[in-house]
Amino acid sequence: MNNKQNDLKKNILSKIDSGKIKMKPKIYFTAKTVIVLFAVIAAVVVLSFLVGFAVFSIRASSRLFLLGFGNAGIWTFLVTFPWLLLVTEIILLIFVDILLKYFKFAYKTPFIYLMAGTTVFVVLISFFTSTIPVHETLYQEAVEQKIPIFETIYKDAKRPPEENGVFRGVIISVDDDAFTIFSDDYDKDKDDGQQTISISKERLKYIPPIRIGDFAVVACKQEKDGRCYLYGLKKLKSAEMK
Amino acid sequence: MSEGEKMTDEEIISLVQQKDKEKFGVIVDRYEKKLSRYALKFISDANKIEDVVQDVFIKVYENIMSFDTTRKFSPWIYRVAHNVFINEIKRKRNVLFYAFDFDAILPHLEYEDPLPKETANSEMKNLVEEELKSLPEKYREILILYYTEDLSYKEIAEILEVPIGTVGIRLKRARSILKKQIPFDVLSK
Repeated sequence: MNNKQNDLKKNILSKIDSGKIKMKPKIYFTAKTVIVLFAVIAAVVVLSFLVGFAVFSIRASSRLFLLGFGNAGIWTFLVTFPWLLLVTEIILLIFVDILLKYFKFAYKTPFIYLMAGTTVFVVLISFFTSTIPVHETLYQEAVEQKIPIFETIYKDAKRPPEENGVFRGVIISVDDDAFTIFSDDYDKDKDDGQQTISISKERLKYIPPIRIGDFAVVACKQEKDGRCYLYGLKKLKSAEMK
Repeated sequence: MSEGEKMTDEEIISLVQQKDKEKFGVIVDRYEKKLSRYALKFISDANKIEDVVQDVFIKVYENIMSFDTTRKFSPWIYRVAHNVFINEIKRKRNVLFYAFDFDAILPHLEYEDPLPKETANSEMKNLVEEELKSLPEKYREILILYYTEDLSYKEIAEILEVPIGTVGIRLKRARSILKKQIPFDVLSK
C-alpha cells in the first residue's frame, strides 16, 4: 500500500511539475461567483417583472372582478388565468433557487424554506414596482409601437377576455331584461364593439340599477337560445376604464 | 517528524496556495488512504479506485485557490471526492444519481450529534462496514462518513451540501434499515 501511495504521490507531483495540472487562479472563482450572482439577480428581475406583469394584466383586463361574480365568475377567472405565465414563473423560481444553492447559506436551508423566501422576496419587489407605473408605461409604449419586443406581450394586457363573455365599457341602452354595452379599450381596434347582454328574472333583483352612460365590467354566459345571460356586473368609475 | 507533518491541513493548503507545490504531497499522504476507503464504498471495481482517487487530488489541486483556509479542509476535500465519485457513478450507469433530493426539500428537526458516544462503538462500525453493500447509496454514503470517517453532522452537511436536519433524518433512516439486518441490541448500544 505504501509503495502504491508513493506512486500516486509521485505521479501527481510530476503532473504538477510538468504543468499538466494547473491551479485555477483566484480570479476564476471570483468571476464564477460574480456570474452566478449576476444570473440570480437577472433571474429575480425577470421573475419580478413577470409577476408584476401578471398582476397588472389581471387587474387591467378587469379579470380580478370575476372573483366577485360567484362560482361562474371564479370559473371564468380560472379559465382565463395566465397559467403559462405562472408555470414560467415557477420554473424561473426553481432556477433561482438552484442557482442560490451555489452559495453556502442556501444549501444549509431546506429547499422549501428557500422557495418560500425567494417567493416572498419576489412578491415584495413586484409590490414595490407596482407602486411605480412600470407596466402602464410599457403598455403605452407598446400601444404606440415604440418597443416592438413588448408589443406582443402588452398589446392584449388590458383587453377583457371577451371570448369568455367578459366585457368592459359604457352602457348605451337599457331595456327591462337586457342592456347593451359598448366596449372600448381605447385602442381603436377590432374588439371595440357592442354587446347585448340579457338579464334573467332571477338575476334582475341582484344587480345594481344601471343607467345609460354608466361604465361597467360585465360577465355573461352564452346560452342555447343564442343570448348571453348576465351573471356579474360591476360599475366602474371612468378612470378605471383606462 | 517532518515540518509538514506537524502542520495542520489548512496551514499546508495555505502554503500550496502560495505555490509551494511540494507541500501538496503531504495532503496526498494524509488523504490517499481515507479517500480510497471512501471510494471503495461507491465503486465496486477495485482497479478503478486509484484512478478515481487520483482524479480527486487533481480536482483538489486545480480548485485549491477556492478553498478558504479559515475553514476546515477535510469536509472540503470530501466534498470534492463526493462529486468525483458521483460523476463516476453517473458516467458508468448513465443515470442521475439522486439528482433530486427529497430529504433536503422539507425541514427536519435538528438531531443532536451524538458522535463521541456512537463512534466509540467499534462493533457498530464493523457491522456498518459489513452491511453497507445492502443499503441504498445515499444511506451508504452517510453511514461511511459518520461511522467510518468519524465526521460530525455539520461536516457531513457541508460535504453533501444538505441541511444538518437532513443528515440527521437520513442517518436515522439508515439506522432503521440496518436494524432490520443487525440485532437490535448492537444498534442500541
